[in-house]
Amino acid sequence: MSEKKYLNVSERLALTSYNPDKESHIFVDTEKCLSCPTYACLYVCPAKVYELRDGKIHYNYEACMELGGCIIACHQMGNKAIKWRYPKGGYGVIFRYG
Amino acid sequence: MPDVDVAIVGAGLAGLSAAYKLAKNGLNVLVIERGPYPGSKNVSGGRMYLHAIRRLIREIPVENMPFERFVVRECITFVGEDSYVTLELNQFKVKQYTSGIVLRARFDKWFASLVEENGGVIVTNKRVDDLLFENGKVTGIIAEGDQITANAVIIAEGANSFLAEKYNLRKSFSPKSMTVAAKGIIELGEDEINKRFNLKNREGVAHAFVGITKGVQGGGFIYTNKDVVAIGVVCLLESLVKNKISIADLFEYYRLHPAIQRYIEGGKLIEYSGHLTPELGINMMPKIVSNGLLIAGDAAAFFLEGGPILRGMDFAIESGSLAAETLLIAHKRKDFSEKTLSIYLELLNNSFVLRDLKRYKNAPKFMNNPRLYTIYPKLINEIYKQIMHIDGSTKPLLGKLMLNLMFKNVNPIYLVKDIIEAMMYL
Ligand SMILES: Cc1cc2nc3c(=O)[nH]c(=O)nc-3n(C[C@H](O)[C@H](O)[C@H](O)COP(=O)(O)OP(=O)(O)OC[C@H]3O[C@@H](n4cnc5c(N)ncnc54)[C@H](O)[C@@H]3O)c2cc1C
Ligand code: SF4
Repeated sequence: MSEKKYLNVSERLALTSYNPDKESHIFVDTEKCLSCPTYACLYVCPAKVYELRDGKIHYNYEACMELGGCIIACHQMGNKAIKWRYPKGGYGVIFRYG
Repeated sequence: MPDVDVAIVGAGLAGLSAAYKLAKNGLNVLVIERGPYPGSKNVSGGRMYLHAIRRLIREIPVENMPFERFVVRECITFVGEDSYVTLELNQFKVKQYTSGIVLRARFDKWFASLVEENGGVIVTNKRVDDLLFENGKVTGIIAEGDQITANAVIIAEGANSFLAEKYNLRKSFSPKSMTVAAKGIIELGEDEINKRFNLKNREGVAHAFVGITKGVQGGGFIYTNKDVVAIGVVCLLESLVKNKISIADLFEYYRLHPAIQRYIEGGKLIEYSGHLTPELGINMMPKIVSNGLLIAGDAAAFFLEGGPILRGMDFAIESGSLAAETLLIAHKRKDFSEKTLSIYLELLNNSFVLRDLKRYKNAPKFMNNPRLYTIYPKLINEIYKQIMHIDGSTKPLLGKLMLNLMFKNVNPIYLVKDIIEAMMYL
């Protein structure tokens, strides 16, 4: 993927290696999101795991790069809807360069 | 008898440094890493200041370690609205490199194999979930159901330090205390990098960018590796949310910015990554010594950001190494109580780790100033532009020109305040 073309996140993430687990390591109580004052999760995730569609939060755990920023942002600036842990050993993102 | 002398959570630089020293001194060490190989979850900019690794691994010169390049040029670019100004430091009589550029997936893998050559054991693909306790002392770990007992445990699990949180060794993080980075690897090829950056052999460049984050508290970087270039933006969580700017969008804005394209144009993005850093450093340090337990590296918040300088790797290596030194003493005394393990604090206090972290304790206060990311980079551009712009009209004297521009752009009270703060906090 090159040059001066704007790459959306899914195009960028296609360049990163993953070994996704069958089970999600992220759990969001999306009911709580309905009254979220900030939608903080949308801004802090480089992989855009969280997305606001039709007024609801959707999340795609398979894109997660395991930073943990969303939990801090959600718990301190949002409605404490996110439960999150590292994927099982060997699963998740695999950086080839890092 | 416990299964091992020391169990270490995380095969990053802190964990591997501790393991290396312990194994070299004949102790049974086990490092547990959740990734498929050491480095597979780790991200830095990054440039490692070499002093700590030189002291730890004496038998291998740094030139023979898998550093991509060694920094010979330091650049900082101030980005304005339609221009940018770059300051460059080139030293031409340097006898010894002070920093080397690394790709962690390569470097940590190499370091782990060195630990293994010295008798350390590294288990990958295993996540540590809990600590084992007996009579108020940590006696091992539980990794996805498997129990491993040890005389002592070192937590070297990186910035998130979930274990430390789980056992109330640290407070919850605040979005003011953590920055998030989005990073990309650009494929250019060794010759092209040498040509574009004017480098030869293993010479490299460390380049910081200010004023390129759309007003968000943070900055950008470029590091030249052997055949790829690392680019990225690092921003405070809170500032992203308050400005309603997505770090993912900001990365692409940065990558496509003329100040960055100048170096990477035509280069392919071949990896996109992200990571957190514990921005507040010593101000957010957890309890790093308990009965049978030490914490090292990012997990201990040994991290420093002061202007264009970003440091965590030399702290991780030194703190891992000092944790090992402490446990070697404890092993001799057969005493792993908090009292004996407090030697760790003493060693850290006498090393650059806590000395530097204390010295820059107030740097985050200085950095928490929106003008640094907006008005000042712009101002530098405006002043330089005015000086260089010739159109036949007579210019005011330099001093007057600068004062005019400064007062036009910044409230003089803030200007004075910011100068005083820079002198006090940095
Ligand atoms: C974008 C960016 C740029 C940076 N630039 C620089 C720079 O230029 N110079 C510099 O000195 N520093 C830089 N840093 C900081 C530096 O990368 C860190 O300080 C350093 O990596 C800390 O090392 P560590 O060993 O403490 O943690 P890490 O390198 O994060 O290692 C922690 C390890 O623990 C493992 N782990 C975590 N939890 C578990 C668990 N439960 N079970 C098993 N394993 C686990 C992880 O997989 C990982 O391998 C940068 C950081 C970022 C994000
Ligand atoms: S920040 Fe938390 S509560 Fe708010 S929308 Fe995101 S996940 Fe939901």
